[in-house]
Amino acid sequence: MRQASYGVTAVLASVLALSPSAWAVEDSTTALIGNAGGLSGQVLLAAAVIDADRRPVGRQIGSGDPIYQGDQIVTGPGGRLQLMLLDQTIITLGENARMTIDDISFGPTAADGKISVGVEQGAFRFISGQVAQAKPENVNIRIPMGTIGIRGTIVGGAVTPESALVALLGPGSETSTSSRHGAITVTTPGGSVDITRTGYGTELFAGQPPSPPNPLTSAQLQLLNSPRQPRPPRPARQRHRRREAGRFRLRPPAARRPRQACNSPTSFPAIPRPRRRSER
Amino acid sequence: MKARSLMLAVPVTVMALVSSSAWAQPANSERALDDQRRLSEGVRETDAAARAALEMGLTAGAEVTWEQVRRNPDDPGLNAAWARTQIQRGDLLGASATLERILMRYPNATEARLVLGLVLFRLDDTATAKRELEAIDPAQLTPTQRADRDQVLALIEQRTKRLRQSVTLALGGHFDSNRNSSPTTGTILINDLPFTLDGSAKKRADWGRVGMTAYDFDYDLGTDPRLSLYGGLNLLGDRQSTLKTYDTVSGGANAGIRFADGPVGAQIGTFWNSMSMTDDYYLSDYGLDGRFTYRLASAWEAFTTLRLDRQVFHNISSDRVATDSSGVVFTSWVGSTWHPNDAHSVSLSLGYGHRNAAANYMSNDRWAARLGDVWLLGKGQFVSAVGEVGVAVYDQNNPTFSAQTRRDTDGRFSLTYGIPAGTLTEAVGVEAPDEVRDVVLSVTGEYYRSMSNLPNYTYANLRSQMLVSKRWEF
Repeated sequence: MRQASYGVTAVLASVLALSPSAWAVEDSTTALIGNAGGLSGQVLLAAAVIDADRRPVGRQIGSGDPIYQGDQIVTGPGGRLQLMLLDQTIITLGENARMTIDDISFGPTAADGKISVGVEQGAFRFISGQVAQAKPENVNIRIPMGTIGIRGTIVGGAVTPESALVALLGPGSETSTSSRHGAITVTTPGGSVDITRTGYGTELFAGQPPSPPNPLTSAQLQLLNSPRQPRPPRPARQRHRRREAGRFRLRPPAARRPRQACNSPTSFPAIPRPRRRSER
Repeated sequence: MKARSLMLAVPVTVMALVSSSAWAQPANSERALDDQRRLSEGVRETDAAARAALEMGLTAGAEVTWEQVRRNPDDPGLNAAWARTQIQRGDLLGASATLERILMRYPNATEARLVLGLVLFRLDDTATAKRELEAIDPAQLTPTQRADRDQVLALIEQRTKRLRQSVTLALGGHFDSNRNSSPTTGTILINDLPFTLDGSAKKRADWGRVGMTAYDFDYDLGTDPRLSLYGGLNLLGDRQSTLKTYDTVSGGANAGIRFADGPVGAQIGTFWNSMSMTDDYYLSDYGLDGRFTYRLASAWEAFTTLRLDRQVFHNISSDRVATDSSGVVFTSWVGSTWHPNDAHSVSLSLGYGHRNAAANYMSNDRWAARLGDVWLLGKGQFVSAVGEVGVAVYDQNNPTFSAQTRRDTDGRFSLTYGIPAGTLTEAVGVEAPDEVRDVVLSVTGEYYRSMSNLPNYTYANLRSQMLVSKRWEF
């Protein structure tokens, strides 16, 4: 059904593109890659290649607005949005983030599609759609230190100009669904690392190879989930949370970078040494 | 002198075989072990299907299209309907994104957060699922929703432990239309001469009571995240109401190591089992087994199983030639499992087995094909169907019975329906205590047919079985 709806969209797009009356809007029709949703706060169009006359740079993006090839989106403090691609891929962007649509195209079938986006800054969450399920090697996220190859999964990331945290968030090996068990490959000029276990992440620093996969701390997990906050006040089980905070005390990696605040939008805590499975 | 003693021995043997329970095929070494193993595996498979059905029921709930949602992405009602549609289609990844979108705009949407937690749990993102479920104020939930939330939080707690243990207890009964596997023709060959079966050797139906308990553990080594240890103990007792020669008690242990890395899974282990029949020590069975899986695509998984047994039989009153079957048995299955959707899985496999027994007439090669189908019906209910056909060719004739070498063709079809006690009591309007809600009641019907070139091994049996099982995890 999902495949069918995707197909209908592709056919409609083709029909519109071939129709004589549609020549005027050819660019915007064929370059439409999805819509914005779940918006809150300041979310601006920072660059536009398609239909730039009607979509001035700096304008506030609204829910349901079309997003095109080459668009750059910037979120301000408290700003967040979901980018809903035609193939049902979802990219959630947190506050103080910048993302560029590098190259997204959808062919007659999901396997003909390609998704390549760049996240220059901020926290993001990627949930794969039909293209990643049909042709995972065609889906990549560019970050300042390298690229993330998606292998059908949920990925979380937090990017600053100097460093990045990238983690696999699901589906895990014990999923009771037919979803593909997640995996990602993080590649930098210094090397690459495969992450195949949910709840594990890698740290990236400019000029260095990715760190080996390590379990995420509670604070890191909170950071990676920040794109879809705000959260309601937490009423129950405070005792547990306090204990967790104590157990997963944050510490920066020695001789790599100075200590940074945990929940600052442009920083994230370090990944400690491997710990027990309960931290997955 | 030798010829004279043989002349005396043959009539004595014939009389013993045709008129008593000494003609007891299930007491025959091949069948007895197979029956117990099948029963034990049946309980485990029932338990696994029940748990999968229960998990699926947690997120069960008008068709909406993606285009509608994209046009109006912040409409909470439309998004909620879309999330339900996605869940029904088995697209839980997509549903999690939709629920997240609702919560981005409406962070106090308690029900959306609850469903998101359940969806993430099913995707095995336990850390995020726990955060979402713990963020919910239980006071805002209905009693059923609260029960779901608490249940999943408990399951997450269990799943994320480094040492995960469980105890399963199953009790029940079964009825066999031909418990002694008496030949359909009512005759057997002895020295290639047909003899009519008489007395207790004729087809006999019987009831039996069965009880099984098993302890299993899974231990995360903590060194390499891809590795874990597993193991367990099991004890099974099967008591007949009339045919006491089929009373069985078996116990065993197994342990090994598991490896999981992306689409690849492997487990290699060792096992030991011991079995007594009619209170006599009958069998020791030990060896190595392995299972290797590879996820070909989101809905397809290929698997291979290998098993090498060393079986040591001991002669008992109901099987005086059991030691002839002692030897080495190699079994392998290769197949694939297809998940067309979350609620349905189909498994097709081909098997080969070779028994190298002490007596050549018990050595054989067996080829088989198996088709399995599991449907999760919602609210923890499930239906499981298994069909298997096989051909066994023996190495040599058994001169006691015939100059012909035995060649068997057999077929088995079983159908199981399971339902949790909580669902059953709910259907009749009774509130079951929490302790019994997850008790699974299962009913199985099985038809088995064996056809052989020797009438001795041509028979059929219809078994009906009922089991009540419960699993505790800690």
